[in-house]
Amino acid sequence: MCRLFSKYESQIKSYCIENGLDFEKLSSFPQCWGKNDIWVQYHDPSRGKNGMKDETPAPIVLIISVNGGNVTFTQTEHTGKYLR
Amino acid sequence: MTINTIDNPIEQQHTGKGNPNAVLMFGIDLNNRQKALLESLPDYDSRIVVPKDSVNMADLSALTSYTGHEFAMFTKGNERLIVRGGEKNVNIDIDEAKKLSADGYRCSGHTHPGIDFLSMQPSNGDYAVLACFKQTNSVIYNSKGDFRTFEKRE
Repeated sequence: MCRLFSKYESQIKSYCIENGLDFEKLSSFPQCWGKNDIWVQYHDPSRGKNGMKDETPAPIVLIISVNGGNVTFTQTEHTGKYLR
Repeated sequence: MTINTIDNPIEQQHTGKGNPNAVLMFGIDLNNRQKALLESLPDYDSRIVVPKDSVNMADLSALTSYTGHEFAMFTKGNERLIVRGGEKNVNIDIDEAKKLSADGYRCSGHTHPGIDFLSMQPSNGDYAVLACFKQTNSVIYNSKGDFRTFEKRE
């Protein structure tokens, strides 16, 4: 798990509860991170059968950003579909 | 002594050659090591095994800046397998990823052409390939040398 996700897990969980999102699902989804943010993605194994021959992006379901210790969240068009 | 007789090591060291962002934004050339690597990877699905210390992911990012093509790197011991892809993919399917894993390779990373953050967004295929290896994470570099780490879930 991404270090940022572990560090701010309690805030992430609170955000999920306040916004009716399933934290358990969120925690189980694959993550992609940079220095200050995490993309939580939905991975559909049935769509990855061609490996790197198919670079159709896995949908981002939530963006978690950290700036100066403040955690902010950005929902995407896929958030409701995969996290509610 | 005049100023003209002094070699300027700063200028010599900061030509930008081989820097992915400099290659992309200013048309700076690849460095000699990167040129040699590219010459041995002339076409889609060209492959080469090189010593581990002769290439890193920043080099592949520079090659992506220069060519607009994806490149993938797999590492086993002191060797690296480099695979040249095309504009939108690399010819590594699930069966081959499983073979590489069985042969002892790890999926070090690959590149996606592009300069924005979303160019580093992993695909379902990227996650499926990563799932074939014992490791939990890998990296995607874009054409600027920026990178993100992605991690599978079991």
